[in-house]
Amino acid sequence: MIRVTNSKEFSRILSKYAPLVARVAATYEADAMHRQDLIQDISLALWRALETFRGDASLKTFIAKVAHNRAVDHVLKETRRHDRLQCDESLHEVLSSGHNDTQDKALDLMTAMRRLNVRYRQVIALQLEGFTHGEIAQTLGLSEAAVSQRAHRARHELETIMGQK
Amino acid sequence: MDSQFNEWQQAFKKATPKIDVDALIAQVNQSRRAEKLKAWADLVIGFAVSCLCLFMLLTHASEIGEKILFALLTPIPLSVGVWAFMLRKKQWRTSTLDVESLLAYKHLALQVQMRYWWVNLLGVTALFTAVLGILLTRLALGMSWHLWLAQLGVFAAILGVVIIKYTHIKRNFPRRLEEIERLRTDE
Repeated sequence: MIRVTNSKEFSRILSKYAPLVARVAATYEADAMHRQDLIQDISLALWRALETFRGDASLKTFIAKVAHNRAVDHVLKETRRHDRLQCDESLHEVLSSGHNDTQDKALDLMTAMRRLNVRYRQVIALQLEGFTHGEIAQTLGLSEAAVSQRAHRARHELETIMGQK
Repeated sequence: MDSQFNEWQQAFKKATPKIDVDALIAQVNQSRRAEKLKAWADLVIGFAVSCLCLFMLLTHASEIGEKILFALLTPIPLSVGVWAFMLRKKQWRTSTLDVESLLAYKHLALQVQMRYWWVNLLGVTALFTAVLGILLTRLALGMSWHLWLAQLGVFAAILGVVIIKYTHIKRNFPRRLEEIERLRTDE
């Protein structure tokens, strides 16, 4: 059992998993300012949540669960604004240190992922993080069969969107 | 996994937004302190207002109507403070739920919120009506009425806020429910 109750331990964990948190936020939020708020909200929720972490799942799965939980909450709060915004300035900034084929692909992928239905986006994002279907099921609260079905549809839709470019 | 998936995976990792971890930790520390402060402020303010009502009951209320009113008011601020504190704790716990459980919780919370504001509206309306009745009676009987007019003003303001809040929640209820359902169902 791991219980994270001190700030030093939390800082170590957050340093390690900050890229994962940032990618989850980027999957849901295109606007840089709001993404930053979401990252902060997830990090704050993680601090509270880690105090109750009992080690039932891996730490990475637990963090992904909290991150997606907060991101879905963010989507519910921001739905109307979310529909209006499709900007990717910050991502462009991240990738603008010399454009090449890999960077274009990263930008295309993130843009395409955000066009996916949230249910499919969650599954494909977790797959791309390297989670197994079992871990994704645990994170999203679905059966493994439902995860397989969503993964199949998500991939098909992503291929279609990417193919349209 | 096939080559296309591997390619996507590399692109996905490449798209990681830049993040200043030290600044993030500092922000989280600050937010955490502010949250704790707000949670305790709810309790302390509730306790203080209840104490004030009790003080008014014991020292200033001379007539039976005033005594009943302050006796009724005394436990309310503390109860609201405790309720807000517990609600905050409960909301913190929901961040460990998986996505489906969170959406089920949100669905239920939305219905509870509707009921809560409806009951709140009924309660405040009843209190407003009671105070208005007492004021009119005192006016008719030629008794002192200024304190009751002030109380009626306070209740009118509270009632106005509750009506606005309830109307807003009721108007947005179907849309918010639909947003939750859209994230829950597969098609």
